[in-house]
Amino acid sequence: MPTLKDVNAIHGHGLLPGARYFAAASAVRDDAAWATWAARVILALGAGHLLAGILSFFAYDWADLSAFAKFATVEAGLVIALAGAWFAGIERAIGQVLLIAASILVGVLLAVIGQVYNTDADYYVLFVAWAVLILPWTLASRSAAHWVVWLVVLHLALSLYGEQVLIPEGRLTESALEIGLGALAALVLALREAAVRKGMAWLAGAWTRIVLLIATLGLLFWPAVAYVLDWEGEIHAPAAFVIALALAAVAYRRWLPDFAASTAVIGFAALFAIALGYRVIEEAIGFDWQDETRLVASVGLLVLWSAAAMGLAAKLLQALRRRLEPRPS
Amino acid sequence: MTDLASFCATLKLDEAAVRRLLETEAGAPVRPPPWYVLLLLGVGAWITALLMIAFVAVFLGFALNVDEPGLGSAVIGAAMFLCGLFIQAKTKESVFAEQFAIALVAAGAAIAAFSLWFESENLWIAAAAAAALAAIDIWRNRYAQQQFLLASLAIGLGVAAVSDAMATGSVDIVALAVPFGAWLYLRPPPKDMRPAATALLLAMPFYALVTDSLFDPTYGSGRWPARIIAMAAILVLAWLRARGSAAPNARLSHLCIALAAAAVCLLLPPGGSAALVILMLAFTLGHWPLAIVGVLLEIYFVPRFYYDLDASLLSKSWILMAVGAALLAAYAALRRSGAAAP
Repeated sequence: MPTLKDVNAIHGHGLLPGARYFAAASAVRDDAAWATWAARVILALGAGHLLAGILSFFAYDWADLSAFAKFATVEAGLVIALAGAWFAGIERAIGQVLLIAASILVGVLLAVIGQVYNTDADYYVLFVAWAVLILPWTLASRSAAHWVVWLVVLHLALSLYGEQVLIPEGRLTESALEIGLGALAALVLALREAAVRKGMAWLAGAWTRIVLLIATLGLLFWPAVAYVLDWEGEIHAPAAFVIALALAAVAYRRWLPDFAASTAVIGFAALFAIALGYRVIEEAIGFDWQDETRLVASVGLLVLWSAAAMGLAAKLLQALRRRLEPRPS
Repeated sequence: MTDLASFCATLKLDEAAVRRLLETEAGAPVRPPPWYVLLLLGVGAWITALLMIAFVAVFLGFALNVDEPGLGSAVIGAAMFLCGLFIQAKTKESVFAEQFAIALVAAGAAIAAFSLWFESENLWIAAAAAAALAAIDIWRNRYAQQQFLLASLAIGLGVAAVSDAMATGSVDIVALAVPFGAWLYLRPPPKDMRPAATALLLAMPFYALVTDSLFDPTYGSGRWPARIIAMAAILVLAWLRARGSAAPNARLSHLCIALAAAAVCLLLPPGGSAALVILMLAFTLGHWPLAIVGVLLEIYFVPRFYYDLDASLLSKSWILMAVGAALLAAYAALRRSGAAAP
């Protein structure tokens, strides 16, 4: 069964003229899969735009609209979304989207409560309440997208709690907060892997692993690099990043072989190595604008180090691909 | 989808030659890497190229007392470019040499083009020089990430030249890059130009991304030519897709998708509309990497709409709700036609 990659190869070797390329691509296209994909994208984009419109509408805080009208509008939307999800069934895409819409409308409702009653509460209170209130629907939804929405709300709640309460009170440093949020993402990734092994097929989409892995490594990467480059932070930041990187490397090389996930791990490792190289060169030679010879040598070394780090990454990826991706028969 | 024999018969291809080619490709010691590996290596080459540019700037400043780029640095840039191509021609196995050479070629092209800009104070000359270097690379056709970086440089300088020459309306010219990129994907020339085509497809979304975060938001009530270009591109892509489908309900579904996308183009800012063209191209060709890029760009552009300075939050909320309603109506029509799974 030829694929689009084969079509590109056939064209690249001059066996398929450009004029017939589109016909060839159409012949190998999986029409049913793309029809399903298009419908889901249209549904997701439609719901996303509609909800963004509702959020903007209430953010405008229209003075002509009475408090009663505001509550009635949001609550009516909430009831319609919930009823729709109930009737459509949460095992169907439309039911899941309606339940996600209801979860987002809960946030709008909490924001309207804040507007009408001027509660002066910190923002984190809204997000904590939001995360708690929609948790039962998230648990019931059996939808990875719903979990992503809930995790984003939880992430905002925890980061705002840290920034508005724990850091000002001196109970936590900014770096520790960032490490904590990264560790939380890592925990969610580990739970996802365990759930998939237990047979929860609705979580098994490859994108859920990649999104959580990139979130984990991305959240831990910045504080680690900030420490390495001597901007801010504590030694725990690079330590946490390296531990997460090592665990992910072993997990997606040995326990759950996955080339795409391994590529993400190697990419973050290469970028971290470049930052580390910068610090080592700075300590050893320095980037002093007053000392021309040293500066030229330092920048030149950094260029070589960067090319070496990426070259090693490319080499590792080649070797990993041979092991993790079987050749097509 | 189809098997190889009927695929070759339908397209009047030499089946034996195609079979031989695919078997050779499958057995080759080094297979072409997947798109996400190319993306990673491209980012790495870009970082190394930036460091290399810094090195050349420092070297010129301190060793040769050159304070400002000019013809001399342009010659150095051109020499770096040629040196990189030479290393690539001579290198067979060394991955380090490959990465170093890609960065050398990209940095050399950037130094040469920017030096010509400083020398002539004319962005068009810099863009033309970068385009010439990109054309040389396309002709040589070795590394996808290198072609993408060089094409992006040429397009970026071209966009800067257009913006410099036109007080208003540059966005409408930039919008033309998207259908041109789509055309290169649909009817590719003999040399592989997909990386350059990708750079063209991304020109409008990145123009919107840069201008919106720097100085001049491109959304708002104007920019009609840019939106109409995106809308026309979507309708043509949908027509091509529908022409290739035999099933009547598939044709109806393509019509629904096209009409919804076209309606959305009229309402959304040009960056979002261009991302929609990328999504439509992905759907038309069956191209997953483009689909992922299009979805990520749409996710970026919807919340950015909140910061539109030309309209009140109330107007924006009506626009967003109208777009959402149009898309949901299209989904309902798809369900009725039986083309969409529940």
